[in-house]
Amino acid sequence: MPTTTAVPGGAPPPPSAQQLARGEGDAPAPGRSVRRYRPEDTRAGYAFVSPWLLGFVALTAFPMLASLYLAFTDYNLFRAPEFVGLDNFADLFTDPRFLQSCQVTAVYVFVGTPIKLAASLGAALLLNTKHRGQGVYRSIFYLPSLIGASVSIAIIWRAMFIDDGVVDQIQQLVGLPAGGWVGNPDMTMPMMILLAVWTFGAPTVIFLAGLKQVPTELYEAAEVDGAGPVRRFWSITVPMLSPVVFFNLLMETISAFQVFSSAFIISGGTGGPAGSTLFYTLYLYLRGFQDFRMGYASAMAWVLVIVVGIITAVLFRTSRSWVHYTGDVR
Amino acid sequence: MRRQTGTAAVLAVVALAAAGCGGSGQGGEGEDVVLDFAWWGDETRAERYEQAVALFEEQNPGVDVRTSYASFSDYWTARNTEAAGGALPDVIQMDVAYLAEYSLNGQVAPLDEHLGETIDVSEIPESLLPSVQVDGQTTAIPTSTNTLGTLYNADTMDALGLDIPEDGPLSWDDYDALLTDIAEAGAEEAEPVYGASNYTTVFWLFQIWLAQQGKALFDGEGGLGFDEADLAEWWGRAEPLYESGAFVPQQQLDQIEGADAIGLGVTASETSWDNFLVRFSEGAGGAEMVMVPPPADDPDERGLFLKASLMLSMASNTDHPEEAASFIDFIVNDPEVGEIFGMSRGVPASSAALEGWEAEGLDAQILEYEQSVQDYVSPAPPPAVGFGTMEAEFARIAEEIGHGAVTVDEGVDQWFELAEAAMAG
Repeated sequence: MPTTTAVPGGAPPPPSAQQLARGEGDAPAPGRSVRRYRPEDTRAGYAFVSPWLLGFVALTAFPMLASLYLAFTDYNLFRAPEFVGLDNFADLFTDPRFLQSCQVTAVYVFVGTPIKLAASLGAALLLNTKHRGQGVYRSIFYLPSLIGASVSIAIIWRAMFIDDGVVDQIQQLVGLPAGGWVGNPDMTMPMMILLAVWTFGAPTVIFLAGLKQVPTELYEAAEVDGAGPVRRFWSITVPMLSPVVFFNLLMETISAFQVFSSAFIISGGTGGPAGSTLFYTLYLYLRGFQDFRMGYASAMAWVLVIVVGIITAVLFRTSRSWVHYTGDVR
Repeated sequence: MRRQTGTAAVLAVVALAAAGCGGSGQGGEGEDVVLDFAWWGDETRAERYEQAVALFEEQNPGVDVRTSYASFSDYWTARNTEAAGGALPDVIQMDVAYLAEYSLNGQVAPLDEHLGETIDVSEIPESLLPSVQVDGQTTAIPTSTNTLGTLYNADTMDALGLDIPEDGPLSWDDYDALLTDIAEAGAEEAEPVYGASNYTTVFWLFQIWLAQQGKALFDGEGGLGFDEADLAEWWGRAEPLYESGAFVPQQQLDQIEGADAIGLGVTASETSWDNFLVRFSEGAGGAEMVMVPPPADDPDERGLFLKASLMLSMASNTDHPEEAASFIDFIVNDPEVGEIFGMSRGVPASSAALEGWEAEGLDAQILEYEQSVQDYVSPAPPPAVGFGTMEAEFARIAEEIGHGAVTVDEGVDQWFELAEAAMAG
């Protein structure tokens, strides 16, 4: 689907591995024998990257440029695109379903992402303690992420939250008002957020790696100074971990904007009930491939790129005040 | 030197890989002609098409038919994408909802030159032909006709102690009252039974209701044949029925995916396509169904129509128009194909496909129903640009009204706005 391939373009380069490791690796010392530049090296280099380069140009760069052009046209897949200037963008902001999709996506991103990050940090803290069989637990916690983005999980999720599904039966057991979540417009968003939170394995693994990097001397020193576990968490773990938190926050925010397959499957491709799972990308898809309004869909894709870009820039700017890199001169 | 050889080798591999992507389906002289054929439907239809295709290949050595199928909405997503790339399968199943778009944009070929030659239409009633013509050209051939009927689950009605009204159509208000009676009686069952699912979501039933008042969905001149007040009145019928419990709550309906409320015994009545009798009867409920004409306030003004359905069109990008045309003719007219499908597609459009076999059971019930309403049918709405979108949005907005997410008036405004954009193309 070329329209969504445009979206990853909004992603900024993630912090480098060096930043993640809190600047531990110094720049490599220049080699003693400097080889002379040889043009055939360059040629061989291009030859080796050519499979990737062809894929990038044909499957990413070209479709992105095409969708940028189409965003300014009226194009219904059949007829040649007709240039309409900014009409598509103007139409967006008077389209009630577009505004609804923005609202649905915003709730999902701004509520779901913090919950997911908190859950994954909590899991990482638990998995970082020394226990027997910790490796097994780590694998188990990571398991949902391996299958989380897949179609099968969304299908199972739907089956669990439907009328008389597992969740409904548990609700009946404990005497809560019965009813499946799938058909209830008020409950679909919590259900979608739960699905996202449940697949917290990837950020957990990154948090865990970050926790392992915190020098134990710091904790020992703090303990000697009389700091309790809470104080140690807020004064050592959190600042030492802040680059990892920042990295996870960026990646999870960007991917939350792009949620599609789970919403598509759970709502049967409609964004229902009552538009409560009409995520941005789902509406984009419906506009493009159901109503054939490819120009409109392309405009939506570019609005998303711009919005994600702005949010990323804002995050980077605020990060200066709360992300600490060891070795920073402050 | 060695380095350059390496470079050349890498490039060669890339070139080979690229060539492999291109593929080539072009057969040389003397090789089999390959026809691609795509259709929407379910597994039972797949089995029937496989049998029909096997029969065609047997009778036409040298032609190889490759089939693929999907559900209705996935089917059109795939076709639309292929159409944009000029790579449609040679023969595609077509619906009146998309015929105008595909014809006006030249995606499907006019079949006029094949009519009377390869494709025999002499056994198809002439009244059906306007539904497959766009701008005076025939661009699809209907395999069958169907019309709407009101179905009752006889077992449920029996259990609730209610009679099925089999003497002519009920008035709309009487039908609504019956649905309410069903719901009142059904509320005491272990699994509550409702009257029906919201019938105001059905675009085609709206056409019937309009036709009963001398109006229509389209005015025949590229515009709509009704106004906001008509639609508001139609959608307004739903509210009291939700309040009385006659309609299944939309919330419950949204959770029944891939199954039918009446088939599951959740409702006792539905108004739907007559060929769905097979699907409903064979659903999880497995009940006996009775089919009667849809409601009408004046029994002489039924507003019914025979819809040309499950049409076949030929892609204009096909390399084998002759073979494609003879395949279309075979599926439409061959009596053995007719027997394979029975009435699962509706009643065959071509009477040739009905020869030499007797309809039995559910098939006979459908045939009988369609013959019983034949005197009351008026012409079906012609193909119109944007029909598919209008139909989909009609159902969606009606459902949102059912959820209480929008009011009737807001919904009417939204639909007219979307319909006007869809008609503009």
